[in-house]
Amino acid sequence: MNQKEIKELIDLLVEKDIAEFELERGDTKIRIKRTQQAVAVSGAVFSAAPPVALPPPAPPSVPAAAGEEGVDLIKSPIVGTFYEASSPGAPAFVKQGDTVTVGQVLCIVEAMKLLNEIESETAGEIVEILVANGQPVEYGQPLFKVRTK
Amino acid sequence: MFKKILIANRGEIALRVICACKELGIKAVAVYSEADRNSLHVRFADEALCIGPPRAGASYLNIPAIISAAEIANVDAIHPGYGLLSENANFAHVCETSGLKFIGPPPEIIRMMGEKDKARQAMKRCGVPILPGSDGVIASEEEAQEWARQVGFPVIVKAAAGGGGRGMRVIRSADELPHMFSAARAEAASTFGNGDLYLEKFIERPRHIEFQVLADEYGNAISLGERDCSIQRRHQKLIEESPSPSVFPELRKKMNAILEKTMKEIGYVSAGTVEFIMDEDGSLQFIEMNTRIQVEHPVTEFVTGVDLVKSQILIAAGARLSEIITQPIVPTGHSIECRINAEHPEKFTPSAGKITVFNAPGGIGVRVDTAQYQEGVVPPYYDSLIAKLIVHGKDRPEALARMRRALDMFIIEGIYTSIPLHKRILQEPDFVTGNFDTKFMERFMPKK
Repeated sequence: MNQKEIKELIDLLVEKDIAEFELERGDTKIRIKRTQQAVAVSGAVFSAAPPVALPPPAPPSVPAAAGEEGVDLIKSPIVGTFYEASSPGAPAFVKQGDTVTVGQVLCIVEAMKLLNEIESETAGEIVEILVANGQPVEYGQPLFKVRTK
Repeated sequence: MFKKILIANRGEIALRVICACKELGIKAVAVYSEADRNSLHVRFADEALCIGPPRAGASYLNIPAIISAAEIANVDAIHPGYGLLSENANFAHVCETSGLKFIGPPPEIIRMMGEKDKARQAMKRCGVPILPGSDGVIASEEEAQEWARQVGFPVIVKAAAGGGGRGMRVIRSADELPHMFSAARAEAASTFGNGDLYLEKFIERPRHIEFQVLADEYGNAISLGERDCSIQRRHQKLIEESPSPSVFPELRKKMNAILEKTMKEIGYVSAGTVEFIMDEDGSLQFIEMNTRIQVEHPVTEFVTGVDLVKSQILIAAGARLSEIITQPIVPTGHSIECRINAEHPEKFTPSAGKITVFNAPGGIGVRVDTAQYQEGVVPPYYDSLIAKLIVHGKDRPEALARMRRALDMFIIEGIYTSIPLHKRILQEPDFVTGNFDTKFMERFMPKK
């Protein structure tokens, strides 16, 4: 099976909206799995023909992953304004390098005059704070990068 | 004049409001759910904010999220479009208390017209003919029997708190009444959380005729004529046109005059649509009022030359009607709209997915209002309307020919659409002669 055949196969799966596909033909075995919008191609392809370079598997787009190993993104659950502390002048809830636990309050997102405390869904170390104090944030906007244990 | 408006809607109507904003030099702020990230209304807005997940309840119907977005984007006003929050009196009120101008009528008017029996009473007091029926909510089955006797069978009982065909039963005799009455009550209670019913005369072969009104904040109002929306399936409109083949000039003139006076008396502001049933004898009887811009507004725009959405914005910004409509309206020609839905043309099952080919028709007298495009995705979370095809001709025969031509040139592939259905309706003799009522679709497609 060459690169062109694999591409045609992928196009066919996308067109017919097939989520998973496995084929064994002689020495060739291929498994294709579609995750959300992306296609992940895996499985060793043994062929009597000269080996061809496979296109690298497309990374599946999973909402929580930051694309790095063991790093989670904490995202805003509402649209509003990000505040790092409970009130002006108060110390920030967390800073870079802090270790946080599940349920720990990380910040406030203010919406319609209501100060919503945003709790961490994961335990680990704050690797990076992605927004500035007082910045407007959207629903789903990444706020913190947390390296999980 | 407003500097920035937030559009609390999606799809083609959000784009429609963006068009009006661009032409008025107002910045448009779009809000979107995660499912609409690649939407055209997001692309063409000046700013866009993601406000929630795909589910409408958590995004487009989420009042705190919308107000929050309006605050951080620092907008002056909110246009609610149609559907969604456009007739939510509470939302209009929250906008006001948040210092945002709601582009529409005052909350009290929205609330009054949203309660169907209150709306009927208000219109009756102003001399608008209403469909004979109960004076408000019916307290008991005995009362229902008495009203039915007065009005005359057949009657229909309807949910005071709802619409869309739920909590409704047609009752043809006193014997049937007890059983139908309790069935309607139970359905209304479970659908809307309120089992209150009112009763109306039931007309077997009605036409659906609605009038477009526009009013400013200074007590001036104008009625811009009617649209005929009788071609419906399960209370969902498929085709609309203006003028109605059943409305003669004297009736139009009389209704325009009554409605202008009525809108002034009730203190209506902004655009609205007053819906009537036309009885078999040709008389018009009020059923309800929609206090927002409607899907089929382009039909009236074509015939009158009035930009209704721009008018809404200007009125909300304090303009007088005389500054917006500077010449007498002379309705010209004939306009027809087909609602193109993403659904199977015979089974009517919704068809979500990716559009692989999208070729919209153009040419003289053709308008397409759509937020879809080639490679665009129709998400499964929202209603199935993906485009409106509107034509204008010098008379009805030209409009019909133009619509047929335009439908032939409207190519959408990758999903099912109602285009084949519209093409068939446009060939149907009863439609061509203008001889139809709201039962047209039942006769046209008997099993559906």
